[in-house]
Amino acid sequence: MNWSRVVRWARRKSLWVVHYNTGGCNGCDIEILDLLTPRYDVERLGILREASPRHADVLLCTGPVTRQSRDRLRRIYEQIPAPRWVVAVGSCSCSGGVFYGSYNLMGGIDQVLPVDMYVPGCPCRPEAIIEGLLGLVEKIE
Amino acid sequence: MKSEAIVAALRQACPGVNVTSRSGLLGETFVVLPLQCLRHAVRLLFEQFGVRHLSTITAQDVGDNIELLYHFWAGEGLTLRTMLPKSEAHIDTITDLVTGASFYEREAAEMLGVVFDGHPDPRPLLLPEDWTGGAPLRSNETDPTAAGPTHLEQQAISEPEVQVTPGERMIIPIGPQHPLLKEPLSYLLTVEGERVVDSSLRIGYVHRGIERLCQQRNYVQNTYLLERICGICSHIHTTTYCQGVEALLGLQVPPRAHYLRALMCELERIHSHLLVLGVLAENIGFTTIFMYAWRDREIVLDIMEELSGGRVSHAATVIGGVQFDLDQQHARSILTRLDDFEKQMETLRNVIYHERSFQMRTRDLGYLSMEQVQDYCVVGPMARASGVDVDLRRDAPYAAYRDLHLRVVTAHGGDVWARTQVRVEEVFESLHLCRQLVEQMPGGPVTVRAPRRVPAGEVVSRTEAPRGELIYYIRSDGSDKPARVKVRTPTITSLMSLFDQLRDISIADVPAVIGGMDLCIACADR
Repeated sequence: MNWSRVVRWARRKSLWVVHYNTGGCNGCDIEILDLLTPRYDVERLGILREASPRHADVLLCTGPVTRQSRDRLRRIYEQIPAPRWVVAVGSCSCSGGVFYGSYNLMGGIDQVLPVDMYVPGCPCRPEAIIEGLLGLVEKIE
Repeated sequence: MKSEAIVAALRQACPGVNVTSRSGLLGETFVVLPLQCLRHAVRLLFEQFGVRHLSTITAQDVGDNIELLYHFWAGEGLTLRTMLPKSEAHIDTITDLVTGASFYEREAAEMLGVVFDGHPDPRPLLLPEDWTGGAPLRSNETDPTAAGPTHLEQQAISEPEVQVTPGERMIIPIGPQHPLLKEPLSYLLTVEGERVVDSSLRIGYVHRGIERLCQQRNYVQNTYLLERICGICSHIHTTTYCQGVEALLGLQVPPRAHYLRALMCELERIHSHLLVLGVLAENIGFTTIFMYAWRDREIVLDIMEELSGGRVSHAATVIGGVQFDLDQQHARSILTRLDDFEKQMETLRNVIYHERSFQMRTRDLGYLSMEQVQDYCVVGPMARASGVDVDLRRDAPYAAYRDLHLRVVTAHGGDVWARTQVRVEEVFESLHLCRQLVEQMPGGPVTVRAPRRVPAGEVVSRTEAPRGELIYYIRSDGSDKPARVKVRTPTITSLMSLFDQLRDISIADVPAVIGGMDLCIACADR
């Protein structure tokens, strides 16, 4: 039995996600929360929102990185056990978006962490976030 | 008029000094006072006129001076204006008179470099601890962006670990990432056993410097920037801003646009109230109500999406009107779906009102008396749940609210349960308003052409957001970019009352209190 294949299969079917708002407007955050509710229900795809980074595989970030949240973001990322992936949800977490040029911003998530999947949109529709997560699953495979 | 009486009393109380007043746009009265008179004037407002609601303090850079504007609400807008030299920007605090001035003074201190003598807690409010870039809203200061990032490795993270001190007291940090928070903020709870004895709060994790960005962009661009202050109440932000700019331009908005704006406002209120009901239910472990509330909310989001094209950000209001129109068939379809929604909402109300465990978790929690609400200048459903009968839709009607029949919902419990009741009833009230709006909607155009340049002037624009009074101060210097945009969102008032709400409760009840407050940190931090 090839154990690495089993592990990969398990990972693909149970993506556990921790969500952190690094400076966003709430728009993408409520859409992420919407994913858990009856209409979108990502649990059917094995995707579960986790409270603690130590239980998670994926860090779902929304918003541009502010100076104040930069170190906290790093810290949360370091608490996630490897292998770990980062998804940037929303235009401002991809590039800074509408807030580009502000004194308190570091830019997008990729200024601080390596990003595996970008989901643009301001705010992202829940369908787009699901597509992004499924794209990540394919990438993991 | 009340403000005339107040100005006359101020003149009498400060003899020998020049007190001038003029009435501005949108019914706001501006009173100019010398610096030494200010505290006296604030005290007079309280003692003689019972004016206790300080909406916010705007600080702005006007060349060699810094100007402070104290916006009061006395049944009508009243702004006290005073000037202090930039070289010696000192002023006495008014927090001993108005407890609710605390956060506004802290913000003015860090953004404009004003020192408030005697302030009990002069820490920065929104800027990071390692900030070295000077006051961001002072012009001709060095460019704040030049502060540059500090190196990650050299940085100590300031959130403390769990600490146990000899007297059996323990400090528990909550946040910035925590399951009960949808957005980052950080509390430090000091507990004795299970009892919370003290708490402190740190916000600013989502401070994006929007007020400065506004000064760098033109009026049209700002509509889209300000919409992104908050994803939950995005429409009310653009509406308040556009209402202010239209007043500066002297623009008459077509009546149909007013109705469409108000329709979106009410739909947004329904969606926001359902959202917070769900979050509160989830925080106290009642996932069924969370799922019900968020499922029903989708109906409202669908209607908003069909109207404007966006589920969360709508870009509905533009300067001069709205960007979409509604035809007969669509209006009928909206009314039918609102009927369906009302049935589902009645089921939800039954579940909430008759489920004993829900009440047991929320009664007598996070209590705020009417007195405390007025001290902290709390607004919106939080204030109405403590028996304060205030609602700007009725008190200072904007958009189409003049023509509507509106019942203001109040309760007297002052606890999380009373807030829940107020929000549930307000959803029904909003449904009632939506029907009136669709049925009475006048015909005609939905937008008029607006010039790009805005004549010099200033305006204070107030509306009732889902969480309470939202106030914008906009000053124009005659160019195509505003000279100052100040935003005070309702959440910041609730945050000031947080310490009182958390005191002496069990630590297991903290999530219920926080859920019941309906915090929107993105709004508070900007």
